[in-house]
Amino acid sequence: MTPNAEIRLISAIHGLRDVIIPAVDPGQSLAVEQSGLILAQLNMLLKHLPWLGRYQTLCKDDMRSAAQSIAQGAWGGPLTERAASKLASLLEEAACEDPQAEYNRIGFAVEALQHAVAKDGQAEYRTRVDAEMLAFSRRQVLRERTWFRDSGFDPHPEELAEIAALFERP
Amino acid sequence: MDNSPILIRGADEDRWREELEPRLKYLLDAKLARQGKGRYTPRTSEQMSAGLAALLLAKGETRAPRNVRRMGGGASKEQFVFELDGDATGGAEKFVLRMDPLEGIIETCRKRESQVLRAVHGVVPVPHVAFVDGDGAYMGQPAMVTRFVGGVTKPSAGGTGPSGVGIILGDRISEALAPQYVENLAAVHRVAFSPETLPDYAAPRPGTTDAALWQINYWSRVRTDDFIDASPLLALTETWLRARLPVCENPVLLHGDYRLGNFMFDESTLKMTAILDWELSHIGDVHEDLAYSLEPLFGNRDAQGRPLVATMMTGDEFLRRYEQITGFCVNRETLHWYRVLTSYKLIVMNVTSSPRAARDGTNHQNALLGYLAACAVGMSETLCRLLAGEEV
Repeated sequence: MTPNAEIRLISAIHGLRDVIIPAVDPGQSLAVEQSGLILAQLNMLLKHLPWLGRYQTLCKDDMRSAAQSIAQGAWGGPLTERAASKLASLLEEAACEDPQAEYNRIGFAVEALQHAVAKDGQAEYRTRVDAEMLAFSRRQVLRERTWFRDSGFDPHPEELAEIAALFERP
Repeated sequence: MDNSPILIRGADEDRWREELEPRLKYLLDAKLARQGKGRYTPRTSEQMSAGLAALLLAKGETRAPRNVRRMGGGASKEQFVFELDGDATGGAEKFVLRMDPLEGIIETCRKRESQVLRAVHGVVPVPHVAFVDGDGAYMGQPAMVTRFVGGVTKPSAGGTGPSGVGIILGDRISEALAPQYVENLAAVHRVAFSPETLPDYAAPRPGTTDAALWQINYWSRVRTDDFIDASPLLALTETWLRARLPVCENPVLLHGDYRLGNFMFDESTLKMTAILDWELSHIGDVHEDLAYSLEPLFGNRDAQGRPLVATMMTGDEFLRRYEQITGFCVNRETLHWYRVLTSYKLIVMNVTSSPRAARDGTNHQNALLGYLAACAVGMSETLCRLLAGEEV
């Protein structure tokens, strides 16, 4: 356990900030820019570290929940029927242990169903799939905005809570 | 686990992948073929000097490049500046070299970029093209050399974030530059083009949905080629766009990346000195360039919370000025479609091509690309609002 990931990351940040960056020739613009970005990235990772597993699990659980909602009651032509059946069977199989891999395993099947529904889905079912996926996307985007708030890119950072709030039960 | 994008679209996968500009299809095919075949190491000034000397000699330039040094910025291309000695009257000439890394946030063509710069020269302020190594025969990678243009992309006293994001011009500069910003865009859209002036471009058929279809096919292909993670939002957007393709009556030359950070101005005269970064230019629908300028990431908000185009003017003011200059009537429904497309392509760049290059080490700015990917979350919020029909 010792040194744990946090200590290793902090020590790398110290070395970069206190030794490497001051030694970079200010005339080497690429090195100056990259070293600043690496420091910012490492600091963001340090903040994410205690939450990483829970964050990935939260995203994965919501993806599975959204997938469940559209896998049932599929209505359309053969492409839609096949894609919905595939998604339903994936949801019944044992999930991957890695939450990010599971997010993608289900997510790819969801995407396949979305494309199938666009081709031969019944209009009412397509409306439902689109609405469910937009609702899921808005939840996922809010999670990602909160997760990456410190990157400085968010147009409305004042709307975002601290990362810890993602894991509070409503 | 089968992550193959082929499964996502089924049997018509190949057909839609073919329906885009031939030169762009060639570029994407070439990129796909070289993926996974090695990393890219940023070039040193010495390496660039040797390649430049060979390129210049081959183009009939007998003067040797000197003082070759890297420029700051350049999220998609390696950028260097150098000089050539002047004639007997003295005065060295300064040049800028832009060269492709192996991969990056976008895959573009130095031949096309040089062609469009020549086509718009004299119409709007642009750098003068001096030398082109279109297939990288001399530099090792495709490259283009232009004459150096003075000016700044942001106020000297102001701060900024990566890739021009976060620039704020301020009232005095905005008042002077806003009319030029709109007038130059309108002038680009009036440029006459032909297969002779733009041989590596293809024009969509007027009065069809080609312009829109080629764009959605191109960016969907980029996404499937560079796939990283599943995204129901991007799948929803792609199907939304395909279901509502707008007709383009009159395709025009587009800049393709017209925004704050991609033009230079003189801080004393407040005149635009150059419009930069033409690598995404293509022939398409006017609404595409207009919609791109409206992306909130490239602006800020005024005291009332209204988004400002390039931090200079509201979206309504921007469109009103454009309509006044051109007599063109903006179709709000088509504009909305292109705003959704703008979000789609910007997110695709930042969550697929960018992290893929950063992961594989195929760019000169891997750390930047890895960091820049986070900007997609703000764009995704904008996209959700657009898809929901909400105010952005």
